[in-house]
Amino acid sequence: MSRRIALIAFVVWHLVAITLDALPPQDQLSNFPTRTASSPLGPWGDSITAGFDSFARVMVLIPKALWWVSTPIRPLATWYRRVTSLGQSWAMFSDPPHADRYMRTRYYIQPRQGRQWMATELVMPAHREDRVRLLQSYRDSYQDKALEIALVGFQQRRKASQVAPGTRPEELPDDLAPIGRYFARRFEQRALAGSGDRIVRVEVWRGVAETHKFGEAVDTEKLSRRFEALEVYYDGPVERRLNVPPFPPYHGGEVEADIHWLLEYYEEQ
Amino acid sequence: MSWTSAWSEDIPPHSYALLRIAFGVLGLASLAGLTPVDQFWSLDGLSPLPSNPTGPRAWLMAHGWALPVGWAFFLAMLVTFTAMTVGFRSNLAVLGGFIGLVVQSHWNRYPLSSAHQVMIVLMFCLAWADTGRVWSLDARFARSSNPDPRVAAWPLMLMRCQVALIYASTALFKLAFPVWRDGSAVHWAVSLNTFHRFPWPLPVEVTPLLALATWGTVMFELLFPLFVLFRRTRGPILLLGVGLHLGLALTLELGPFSANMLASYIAFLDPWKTSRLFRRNPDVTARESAISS
Repeated sequence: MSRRIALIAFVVWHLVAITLDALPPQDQLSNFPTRTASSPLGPWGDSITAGFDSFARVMVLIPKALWWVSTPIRPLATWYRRVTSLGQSWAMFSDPPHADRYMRTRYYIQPRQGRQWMATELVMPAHREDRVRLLQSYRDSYQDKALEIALVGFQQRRKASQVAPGTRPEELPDDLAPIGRYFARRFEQRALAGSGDRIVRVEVWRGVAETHKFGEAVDTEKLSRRFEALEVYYDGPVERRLNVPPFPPYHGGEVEADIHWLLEYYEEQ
Repeated sequence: MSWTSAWSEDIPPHSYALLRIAFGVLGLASLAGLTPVDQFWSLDGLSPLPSNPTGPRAWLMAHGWALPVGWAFFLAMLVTFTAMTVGFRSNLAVLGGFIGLVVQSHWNRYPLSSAHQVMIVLMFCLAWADTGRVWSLDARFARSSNPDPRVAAWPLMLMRCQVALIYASTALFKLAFPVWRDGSAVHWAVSLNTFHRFPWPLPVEVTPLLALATWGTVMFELLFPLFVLFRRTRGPILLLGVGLHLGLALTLELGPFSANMLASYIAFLDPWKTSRLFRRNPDVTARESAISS
């Protein structure tokens, strides 16, 4: 009998603890901006949107109430979830980005003799975006996820004051350091092995290109220009041995078709 | 059967065995995705730098153990998921799989998505169950056969609650953002260059369908926890879920997420019907039916 009571207590406690973690945070429960533009779907789209807005205003009262009621036990529940590693954040695609995302790494190479040259490698998306994603893309998705999580962590930890031309790498969060180092090491093994050339600087760039708006037709010409710009990366790192530009300032920018690149992280050796 | 008695009754062990096999196979599939080993398992691969310069991660890196230990961890997970799949030391393998997944998320969180967390929370439920009674090497090599192989139902019910909670939670998160309420979220998701499976942009004529898919997804996720409670509505909502996850897998590259969620649906199948899957010996069926009645 006591075993049965203990089991019931455990199950009830477990369900309470995981439910509390599954609630959206308080600061995300009042995201109801005034809708100024009409729905591209027309009046019926506006009606359904208004209906969902009203419904959501009522529904968010549930997590708000649960947050309030659970205040006394929340620290214990948090401790339990941390010990058991049963975090319950299920916010997948809750706020999907409105832009396509890219990442590239750039290496500056100093040969034993002669002038410095550079190579630039597209590392995200790992799979060509102008091709159907089948089997290989399953593996590539892990690389994309790794780079995405590193970038999100970096952006969360970087202070606004660090976004300045003179920022040194040691002042920045180190989330992107493994990205630059891993791909630089791979490039070194594949392209520089035995040559005596060495990488003197590694940069990690983030690229953003706006996605076409909801209800609007895709600008196919713009997309073609972007695919053309990306095409050069698909055969591997793009080397530049002539007219190598000077090192850009931190958070310096470049534009390729409609992709806007920003230098997010760099290291010098 | 009431909701309370469903938790306390004994059920055939086949649902647990099927879940063990499914998660074993999915674990192996996720290991295949997490290769090459030096990229995702070595501490000097795509892995966070040590936060503590005197901690074990820093020590391993400083002494050249970053890759060997990564390989050892990878191989240990390979053995564990293989053991789960074939049912060798089944209960130990499931517990080891759960612990391994937790350690993996501390070892290198960078490449891990929600699919990994789904595996962790479901393996936690499975770790309480006896998963090796049938469809396992354990059962094949057991010296004595148990005449009443029934096992506790509560881990299965716990797993059902966990899956329902995932849907309820994600629905609440989605409702909290304007893009799910105005019908545009699916448009943004399927347009993302790192996820879309097909490179061709969707024609503007499908906009209403994307809006209906957005609202339909939220409603499905909200209603799932309610509809799976009742036997009459369970089948239709699970079928809708299968359609949703197959649709997601067809249009977006989400790694193992869709497969993991579909595998979790095994927990909602009637354990008595699951026990009759792959049955070849009618005598055994009759004997077990007698036991269950």
